[in-house]
Amino acid sequence: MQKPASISILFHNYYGDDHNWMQFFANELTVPFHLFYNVIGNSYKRIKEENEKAVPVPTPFTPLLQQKIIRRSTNVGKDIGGKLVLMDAYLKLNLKCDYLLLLHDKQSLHQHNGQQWKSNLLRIAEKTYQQKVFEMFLKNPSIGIVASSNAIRNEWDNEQKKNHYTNSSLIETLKKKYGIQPPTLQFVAGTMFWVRAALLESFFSNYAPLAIRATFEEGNVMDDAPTNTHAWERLLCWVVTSQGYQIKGI
Amino acid sequence: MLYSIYYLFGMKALDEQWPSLQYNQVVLCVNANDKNALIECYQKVQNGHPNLSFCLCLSETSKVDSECMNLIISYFFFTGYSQPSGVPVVVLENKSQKGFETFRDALQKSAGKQGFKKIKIIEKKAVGNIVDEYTAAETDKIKYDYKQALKSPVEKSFFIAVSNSSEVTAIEAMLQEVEVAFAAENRTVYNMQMENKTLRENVELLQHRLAVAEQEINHMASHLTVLRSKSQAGSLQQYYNNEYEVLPRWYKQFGHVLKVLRGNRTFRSLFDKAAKKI
Repeated sequence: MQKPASISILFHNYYGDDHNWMQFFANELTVPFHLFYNVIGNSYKRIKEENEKAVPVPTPFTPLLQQKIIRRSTNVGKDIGGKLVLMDAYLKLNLKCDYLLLLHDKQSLHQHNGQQWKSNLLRIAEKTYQQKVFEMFLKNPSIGIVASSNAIRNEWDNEQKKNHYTNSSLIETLKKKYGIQPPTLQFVAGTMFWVRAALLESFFSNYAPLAIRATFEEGNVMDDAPTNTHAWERLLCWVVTSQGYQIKGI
Repeated sequence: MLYSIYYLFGMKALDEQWPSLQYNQVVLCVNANDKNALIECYQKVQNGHPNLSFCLCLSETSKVDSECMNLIISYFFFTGYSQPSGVPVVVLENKSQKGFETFRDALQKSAGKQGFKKIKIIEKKAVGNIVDEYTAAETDKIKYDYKQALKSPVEKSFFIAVSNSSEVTAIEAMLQEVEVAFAAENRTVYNMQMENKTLRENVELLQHRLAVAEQEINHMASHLTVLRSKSQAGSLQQYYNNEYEVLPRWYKQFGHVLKVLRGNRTFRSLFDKAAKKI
């Protein structure tokens, strides 16, 4: 009998509503998991809800929860910044899981189809897809990332036809600095995916997550001009593909 | 309580359970230069005391490298790390003024890059014979000095090195007694001092909330700007017109039949507009 996969969820929460998220994890996860949960200490939603008191984030009611690790960060680097705070905690606690699931409570308030986009991205966490995800990883060792097929893009095909993240000096500098040379510019837009944990562990053991986060922009940075934050939305996937692994959709 | 009591613990103290302190502060003493100690302490806090309310006391702060600096800042992300109004508190041991200032500035700069605009640095002098710290055994001295501090308008921090939770409980009880007795003898002065302290804390809190609210308003304004400027509804309509509306009617009808065959639409909805489509 196959040993169930060990997983850690790295979830960044900006908009609050912790109870519903914990309900989501309790309902949807089908294997034992560690939950890394980042909240933004100076988010208006959180301060409004909690009145600045350290209200403990509720625990998902499921025997599958192995450990709940909560972090409270500043609003730097949007969801990528939050995920790096959690990656830092994951590495320090030396958990060594099989897979990581990167998620956040995306709303995309500036997009007219924000709700639809969020649903598409989050479905990879739903129970109906989990076994399929694990099977994909097991059957094909060359798969590094599994994401919603609607979210997989190639930067060369971006609708805005800008070169912010194809061959701009920003992206070339970052690729060189971190030794990231992806075979294609394929990435997961929205940064929600399953990934083989070892691939990110090896990279972030060499390049500290918080050192990278220190280069990110503060606040609600938009992507109309090239930013480190949005560059890392691509680079996080390219870390995996430049190690010879593929991104597959579900 | 009127003045802050900082209970200084070494890492070994994390092997036992601690009472939660309502008024005062658990301070974990760590060598800022010792990467292994910083990681070990981090793991002990997370695995043994995930709800601990604490701050750090850093010693040996000369020549702290960037790796140790990031390790120190990673503690600020614990939910229990002391951050009144979003400002992390750090106790720094001052063995030399120059070294203290250099490290303080470097810490503030690194923390600033992680989004912490301010840090509250509490200086604990440790120069020669002047050590700004009591041991738990010096109860008479602590009691006397605390009583003297209550009479003074100047704010004072008390650092008390402890090795177990029962020492903390005993000192807390003793100082509570001293403060209650002082309050009874000097009601007006005490009330004014407490009110001053409360007002100061409220001002800091409200400033923090105001900054957060302003930030939220700016975020919403930028979202609205994007929504208005791109006219996404308009471009969506244009896309619909170009890709679908231009097609002949018979082709669209054939498409609906295909949807039914693929299970993307109900058969009944082909004839009844009120029927459920999916």
